[in-house]
Amino acid sequence: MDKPVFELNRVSFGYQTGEPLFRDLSLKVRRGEKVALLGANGSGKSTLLKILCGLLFVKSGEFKAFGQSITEGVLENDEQAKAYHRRVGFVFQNPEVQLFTTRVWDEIAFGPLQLGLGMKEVETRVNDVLQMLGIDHLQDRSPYRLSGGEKKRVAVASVLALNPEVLILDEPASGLDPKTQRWLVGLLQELGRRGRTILLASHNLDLVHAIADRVLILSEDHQLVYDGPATEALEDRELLMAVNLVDEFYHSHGEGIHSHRYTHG
Amino acid sequence: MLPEWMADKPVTAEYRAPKPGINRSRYLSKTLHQMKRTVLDQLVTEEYAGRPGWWQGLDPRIKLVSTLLLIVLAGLTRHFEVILGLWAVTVVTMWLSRLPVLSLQRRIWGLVPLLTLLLAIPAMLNVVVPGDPLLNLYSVHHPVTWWGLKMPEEIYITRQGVKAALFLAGRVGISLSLGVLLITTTPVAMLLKSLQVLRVPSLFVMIIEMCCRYLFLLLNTSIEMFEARRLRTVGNLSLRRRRLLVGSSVGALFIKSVALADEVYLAMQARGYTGQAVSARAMYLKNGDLAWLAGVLVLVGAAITGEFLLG
Repeated sequence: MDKPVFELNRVSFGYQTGEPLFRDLSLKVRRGEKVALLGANGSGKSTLLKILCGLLFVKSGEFKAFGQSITEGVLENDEQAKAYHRRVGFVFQNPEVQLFTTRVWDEIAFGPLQLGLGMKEVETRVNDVLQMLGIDHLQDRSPYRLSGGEKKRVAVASVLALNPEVLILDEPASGLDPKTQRWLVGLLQELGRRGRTILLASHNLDLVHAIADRVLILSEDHQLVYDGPATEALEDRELLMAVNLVDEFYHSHGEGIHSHRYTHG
Repeated sequence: MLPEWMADKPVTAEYRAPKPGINRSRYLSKTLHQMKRTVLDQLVTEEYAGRPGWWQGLDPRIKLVSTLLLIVLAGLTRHFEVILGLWAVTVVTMWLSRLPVLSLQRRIWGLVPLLTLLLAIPAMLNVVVPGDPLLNLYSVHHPVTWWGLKMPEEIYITRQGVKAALFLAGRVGISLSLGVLLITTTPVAMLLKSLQVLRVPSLFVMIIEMCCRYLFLLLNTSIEMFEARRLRTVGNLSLRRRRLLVGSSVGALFIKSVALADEVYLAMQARGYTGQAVSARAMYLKNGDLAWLAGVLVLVGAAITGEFLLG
C-alpha cells in the first residue's frame, strides 16, 4: 500500500498569542484522495491547510509528508522547501494575496521560475495553463483589472503551472458566481480523475458533495469530530448541526422531491 | 429575533434638502474624488499602453535606453535648436503612438516648466547673474540704503538670464515629455522588467512591482472605507472628529496592509519563493527596435559632436 501523502501524528499547534488551536490531532491523507475539510468559521480549517502546505509548523507531535518528517528546520533548506512546494500547491482563499505582480503572465510564471525551470519550459507551461483555463486573453492584464472570478482563475492557474501532486484549496468557491463555481467543480473533478490528491476547505456543501469522497469535520473547539465518507457526513444532519455548520432548516436543492420546514421567501 | 425598535415599520424621517452651497461632507467627497482620479489615471495609462501604436510596439528596453539618451542630450545641449528638435521628435512620436497629443502637451508644458520658469526668476535678474539689460524693473540716480542694506542703482532682467531660464524650462519640459511618452506606452510590468538592462537587481524590481500592485489594492480599500464612512456621515463633523476619522482610517488601513503582507509572503513561499527573486526574460529584439536605437544613437552622437565642433 502507498505511503500516506500526509500524516499528522498527535500534533499540537497554536499561534504565539492565544490558546493552542489543535491538541493531539491525528489524521492521514492517501495519494489520490479527494478530501474536504468542513467546520464552522474559526474552527481552524485554514490553519490546518497551511500546516499541510508547510507554511506553518506544528509545536509538538509529528507531521510527515510523502514519508518524510516536515519541520521548520527541514524547510529552512531552500532546496528542500522548493522541492516540497513543487509537490504541494496551495490556492489561497483571497486571490488578492496570490496575485502580487502587475501582469497575469508574470504571475503564472512566478512559481515555475522560482523552481528554476528553463525559460522555454516556463513559457510552455504558462501558455498551456492559460489556454486550459480559458484565460489566455487576460495574459497582459493587470490583476486589478480582473473580476473576482477571473482573479480566482489566475490564482488557480498560478498554482497549476507548478503541476503539483497535491492541490490544497482554501474556500475555493467563496465569492464566485454559480457559473464560475461550476467551472471550478469541473476542473477539480478532472484533476481528481488524473490522480491528483485534492484537499479543500469549504462551507459550500454542494461543492463538497460534487468533489470530495472523504470528509474531515472540525468542531468549533478545533477537535476532529468526523473522518469518513463524504456522503454519510453530508446526510448526517445531527452532526452538521452539532458543529454549527447548518441549522434545522438546512436542506439540499438537488434532484427529486424534498420538503421544507419553512417557506422560501 | 429583531429588537422591538426594529420590528416596527421604520418611521420615515422628513427629508430636508441641505441649504444650497453648503456641502456637509465636502472633505470626504474631495478625498474620494482624488483617490478615484488616481485609479482612473492608471486605467487610462494602461489603455494607452495597449493601443496599437508605434512606441507601444517597441521593445521596452530600447525605449528605456533611448529615453535616457535623449534626456541626457536635452541636459547637455547648449543650442535651443536641439531642444526644439527634441520637442518635435516627442510630438511626432506621441502622434504616431496614437496618444492624445494636445491634451498631453497641455498637461506637460502647462505646469512643471512654468513652475521652473517662476523658480528661475531670481536668476534672470542682474543682481544674481550680471548680463545685458532686457527689461528694466527699477532704477535710481543715487544709491539707496534700506534697513542697512545698500540697494543697487538698477535692477533689470538680463538677456542671458532669460535665455538660461528658457533653457531650463525647455529641458524640464523635454525630459517630462520623454518620461510621459515612456510610461504611457509601456505597461508597468514591462517597464519594470526593462530595468534589468540597467542591471537593477531582480529583488529590487520585484519590490517596486509589488508596491505598484498593492498601492492600487490599498487605494481601492481606502476608497471603499471612505465611501462607507461617507454614507454614514449625515451631520456636520467638527475638525476634531475629522482628524480622528482620518487617523482611525490610516490605522485601520495599516493593520490591513500588515495582515495582507503576511499572507502575500506565505503565498510566495507556497510557490517556491526562498528569498531570491527570479524573473522571466521573455523579451526579444526586433529589427524595428534596433533601427530606432540606431537612429537615436546617430541623433545624439551628431548633436554632441556638433556641440563640440560649433561651440
